[in-house]
Amino acid sequence: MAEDGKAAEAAEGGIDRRSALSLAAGWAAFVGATAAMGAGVVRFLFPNVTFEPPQQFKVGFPATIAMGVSETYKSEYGVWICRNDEQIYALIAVCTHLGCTPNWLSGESKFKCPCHGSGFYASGVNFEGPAPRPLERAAIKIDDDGQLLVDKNRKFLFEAGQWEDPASFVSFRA
Amino acid sequence: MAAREARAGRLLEIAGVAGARRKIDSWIAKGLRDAPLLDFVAPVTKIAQTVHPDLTVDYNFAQVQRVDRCMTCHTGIDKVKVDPETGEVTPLFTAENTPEKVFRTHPRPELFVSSVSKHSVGQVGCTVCHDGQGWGLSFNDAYHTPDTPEKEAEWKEKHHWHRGESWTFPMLPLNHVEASCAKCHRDPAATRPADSFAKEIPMAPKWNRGQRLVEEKGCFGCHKLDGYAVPGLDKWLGEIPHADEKAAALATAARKTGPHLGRIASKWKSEGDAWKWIWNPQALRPTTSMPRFFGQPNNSGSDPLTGVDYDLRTRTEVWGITAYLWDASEPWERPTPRIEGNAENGKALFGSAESGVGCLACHSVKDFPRPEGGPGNGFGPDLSTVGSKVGRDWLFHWLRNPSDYWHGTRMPSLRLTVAEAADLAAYLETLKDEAWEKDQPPPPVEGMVRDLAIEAARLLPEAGGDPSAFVERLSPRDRLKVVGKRAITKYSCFGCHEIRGFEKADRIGTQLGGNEGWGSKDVDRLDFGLMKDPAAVATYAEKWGARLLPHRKPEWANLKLLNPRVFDAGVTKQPHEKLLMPNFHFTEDEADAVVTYLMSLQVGEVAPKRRPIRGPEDVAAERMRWVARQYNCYGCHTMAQERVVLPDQTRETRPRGGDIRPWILDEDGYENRDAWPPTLGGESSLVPAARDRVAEERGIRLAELAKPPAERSKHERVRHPHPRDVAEVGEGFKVQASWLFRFLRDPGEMGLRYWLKVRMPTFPYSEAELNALVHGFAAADRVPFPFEFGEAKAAPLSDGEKEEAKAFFQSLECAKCHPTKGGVQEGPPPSAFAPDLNLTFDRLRPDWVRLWLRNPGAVQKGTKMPAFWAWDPEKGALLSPTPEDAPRRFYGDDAEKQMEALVRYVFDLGRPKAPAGGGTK
Amino acid sequence: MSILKKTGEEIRKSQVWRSIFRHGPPTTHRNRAMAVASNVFLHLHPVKTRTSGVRMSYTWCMGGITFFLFLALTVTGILLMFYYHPTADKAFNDIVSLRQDTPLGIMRELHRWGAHAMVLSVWLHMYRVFMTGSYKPPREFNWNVGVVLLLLTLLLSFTGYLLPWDQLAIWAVTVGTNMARAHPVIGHEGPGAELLKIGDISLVTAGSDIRFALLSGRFVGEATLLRFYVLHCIAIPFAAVILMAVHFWRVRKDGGISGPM
Repeated sequence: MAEDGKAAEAAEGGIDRRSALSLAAGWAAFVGATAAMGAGVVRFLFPNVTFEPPQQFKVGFPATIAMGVSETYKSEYGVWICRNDEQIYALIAVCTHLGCTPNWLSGESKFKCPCHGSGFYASGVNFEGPAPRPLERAAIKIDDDGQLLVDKNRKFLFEAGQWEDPASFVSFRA
Repeated sequence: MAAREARAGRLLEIAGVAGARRKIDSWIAKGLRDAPLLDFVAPVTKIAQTVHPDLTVDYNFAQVQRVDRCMTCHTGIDKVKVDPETGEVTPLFTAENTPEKVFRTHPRPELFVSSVSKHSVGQVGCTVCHDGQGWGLSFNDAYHTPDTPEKEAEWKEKHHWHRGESWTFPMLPLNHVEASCAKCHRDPAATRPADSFAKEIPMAPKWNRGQRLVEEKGCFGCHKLDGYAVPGLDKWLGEIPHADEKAAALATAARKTGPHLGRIASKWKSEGDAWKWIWNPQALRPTTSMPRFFGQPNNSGSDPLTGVDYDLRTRTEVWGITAYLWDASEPWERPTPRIEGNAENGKALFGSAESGVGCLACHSVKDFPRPEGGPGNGFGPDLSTVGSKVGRDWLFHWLRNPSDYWHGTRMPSLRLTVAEAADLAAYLETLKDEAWEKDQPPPPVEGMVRDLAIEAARLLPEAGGDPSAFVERLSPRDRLKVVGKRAITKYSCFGCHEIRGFEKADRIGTQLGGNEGWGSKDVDRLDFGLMKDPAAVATYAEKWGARLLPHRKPEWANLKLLNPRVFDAGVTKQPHEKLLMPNFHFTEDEADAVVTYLMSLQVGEVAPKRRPIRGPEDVAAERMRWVARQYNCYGCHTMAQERVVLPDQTRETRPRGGDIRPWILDEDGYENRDAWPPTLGGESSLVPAARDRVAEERGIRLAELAKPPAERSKHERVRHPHPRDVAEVGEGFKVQASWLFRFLRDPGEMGLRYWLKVRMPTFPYSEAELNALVHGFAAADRVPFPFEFGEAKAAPLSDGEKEEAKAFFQSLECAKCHPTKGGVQEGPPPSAFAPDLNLTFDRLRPDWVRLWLRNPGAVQKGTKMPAFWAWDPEKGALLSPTPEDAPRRFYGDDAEKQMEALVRYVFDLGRPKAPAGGGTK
Repeated sequence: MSILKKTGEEIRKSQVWRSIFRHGPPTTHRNRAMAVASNVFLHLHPVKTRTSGVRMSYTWCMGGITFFLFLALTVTGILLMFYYHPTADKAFNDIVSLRQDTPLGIMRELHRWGAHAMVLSVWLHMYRVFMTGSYKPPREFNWNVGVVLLLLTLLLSFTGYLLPWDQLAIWAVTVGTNMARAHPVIGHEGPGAELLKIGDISLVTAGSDIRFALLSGRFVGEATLLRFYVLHCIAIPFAAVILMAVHFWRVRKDGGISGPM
């Protein structure tokens, strides 16, 4: 029988060209489809929209920011809006040790992390506990409508000298 | 420089096309970033959304947080520039620099969307106002709704627009977007007026207009509406246990719009005349607010299919109504016999410039056409044909005391003498429509009366199951009354009129408010009749006013208001199934405004903390304006607030001013009503200068001052939180509350400007209404109420101070115009041209008098009171009014001291004498 | 060629290869039988079948297509579960967003149309089995397993119908479950329900009958949504998978893919 003949041929390792090509094409199509599906599944895991708080947000007019540390936007956006004699800046409320959220202790004028006791000055510079480096600052500027616009997508690190970057603060005297 | 400008222009252009402030990459980079499967890394096109957990969307089984993604496409909607100095908000993307409409900034960014506005997009989102599906990311998924057929055609072409069917809240067409204001600015769930009094919404003129039309036409007589409780129709009004609450509720309750019919037989000349009126009110008085029930396309002619002769039927029904009303009418005991009057005198009293008593404020007649911007606003009926309607006898007694005929009328007593009333009645009787009087009504047809009576008797328990036999037992007159009672029930005459025997009747119309809010009604629950069939529409266009409708609510409601019976066109029905809503003869504009109002009647509540905060003063002021509207105070007086609320009304041309004041002072209107003293000279040239001065003193730019308060920039309002700007001073700031109460209750008693022929009438205010008015005036100006302490009176002058004050007072010759009776008797006799200064102690507030002396023209435009103290810009101070060559100088020519002494002197004039031995220290 | 051959042999000799395939190449009858019997995916299949039995014109491949659709529905269903909350306030929005903003927005459409196709293919499969007489002994038991699988497929369809949580879903399930009211004895409006009483206390009421158990309440509500979700994603598929295993295994045991015995 023809089938037996073919089987015998296959057993000897000899496949005719035509079957080899169609076999290869078949497998290629299968692998391709599977890869595409896999890529699709991976893409599917990245949502196009989230319900997290926005990374860019407005925090009011510069004149309304009081001296010191404001906790108003901490729970919603995870930043402190701070003002000293010269500038307004936004500190990101994430401890540089292991990522807990520190608390602002106004009586002692410092940020204190409840997890391992790291302490930071109002400027964000660390001075006690295990935190290895100061808190990070977010980009801040005055928008067209005159309000402060904070952008958490851009972060400024003290140890990299980035706090000098004019994008990291709003100069109050200007 | 030019290069920089060009660059900025280019940036703007790019931003306008690609959204705001995006970095421009090469198209390859962009393509890569937005490529399928890779577009999660750093996409150029992103979804922008705002989330509002407490402004929920009603999903029937759950309240779901609102998510608005409109800014994904409308990228420039919130982009503004704010001037840090003036607080002025300028949109960045306008028609000038952004050809694509979708990318433009909101047209009113100072009020909406921008982060500096009250309704910023982060706070309230978009769909709270506009509706639509906030989740939608395509033109159709957002449920855009066109407001005109042209726009619909354009969208179909451009966006493949079609009507979506999977979302209950399609976007409001732009022309009705004000309907959404009511979601937060009034409480839709509360039907009790005391709880939710908001019957006006600032900056929403169309909604306000619609709401007032509903009020004027009395829609609430048949339809249950939010905020309109009617004693009689809403039983709970009488059953509120707490007395104060009850009083407040009753003060703001709506009245039935039509007159009381309890004594109708004494008013009309004959039943036949009443028949003609009911059959077609517009025939006699085209402007009447009584709608037309009969002779409509669905109840006229005869129906070949059902064999009903509608003309005969409805005519008989009207005869039934008149018969019922006549027999239910009680006689009117008139207190004084009528005397004959003189029509010529009456005409003068009615409306002449010299001796009119003020009728024109509410009424109009053909003899006195109403000039543009003049007084009056058509609040009361047009009396051009009143003589055909009622007789001289009734008129005389009515004018003497309207409340005696109808307890509850808003017509005030003008305190007419018997002679005046007789003259007016004689004049009014001459106003006739001869043609109408000659017209004879067709008499009732006995057979039809019997048929209708049997039909009506089927519903009567006393007929005992055999209506024919019951009707046979009745006299012809009683049969007619059975027909009439049924007709009154059917047409809901009691919705607008008080009718004996219908005290407990309930509303018959579809509920439009409350938990059945029409704005939330599903469009699929409306009967469009044949109005979506072009062939049928063409057939019925002429007689029925048919119009081709899209499957949308606003268009449906608009047509319903214009042609209430149109949905019966081409539909075969039994007589009792026919649509009943009468024709109110709305204009297109009016109908459109009412539709906006109807669309605002929505089910569901916005969380209280998201609603605007209305302080007790705001509520009181609002209540005062409502009562003022009920009695048409606006017919004679202007109020600043009114101007803002109704920009398209005649009020617009009236001079603005915060106080309520008589139109006889109006320099645009009736300046030839010479009841007022002639100009004292130099005043008109003084006024603008004085205005400048006061403005300068207060640091207000004149341009700002010229704007109505609501349009002023935020910047300005922060500086002036209270309405103390000169141009905003109101009656509450001017007069003492106790005096105002007494004056409103009985203006005649007070003797203020008693020499004028035109007079403040005595209105039939209830106690609660009086309190609402007085409280509201005080609240609007933020002055203390109900207790006024020291600030209500100026301090008395000591004996030592009196002499110089008196001499100064005389030097200004105040008494030339102001009668002072017991006060200063020297000098020329008082010419009775200005209010008696003796009243000052009880009447005015010293703060107002100070302001008034400083600059009368700014407080009350067009006043004859001169500004004595001129402004010297060089010195930067006020100049003393004492002439250079005067024999005596006062207070060292210190203007401030002079004014203060004058204020105290004027208050002393009417101050009760201290009892002998009373301890004054 | 010889290198290729050599490499191939090396691979086949390696321990990894031999640990997976514990038999030689399927070139002999024995090895073919071994290949089928020692593979978890293939052992459910008949080792041998008649050529006539696998002709498309004979089987329509409806069983295979049904199984393929089941797999496709499982995969898409799992992916959908990443974005769907079975809660009253989120369910509908999640469905909308699956189309509007979730990546590969056709996932839900695949699931939905796949489900329709599966119901259709199950019916056609049954029709074919009936028309070829393949339900006859010794396959009566497998026919019955198949009937239960059909019911499970319909139940999957029905429970999935509620999940979009729109008006159609809610009212369709309300109407559908109303049938359970009339179930004999255990439906409170069904025949015999009135017999179950202690004194004058009814035991089968709207609050204790089969419909109540189905809806987790008297009306379709959030609890129903959660219940149907669990049924749709876990309970019914679990039962279906077990029965499918039995079904496929019995195909082999009962004489291979159908043909006349």
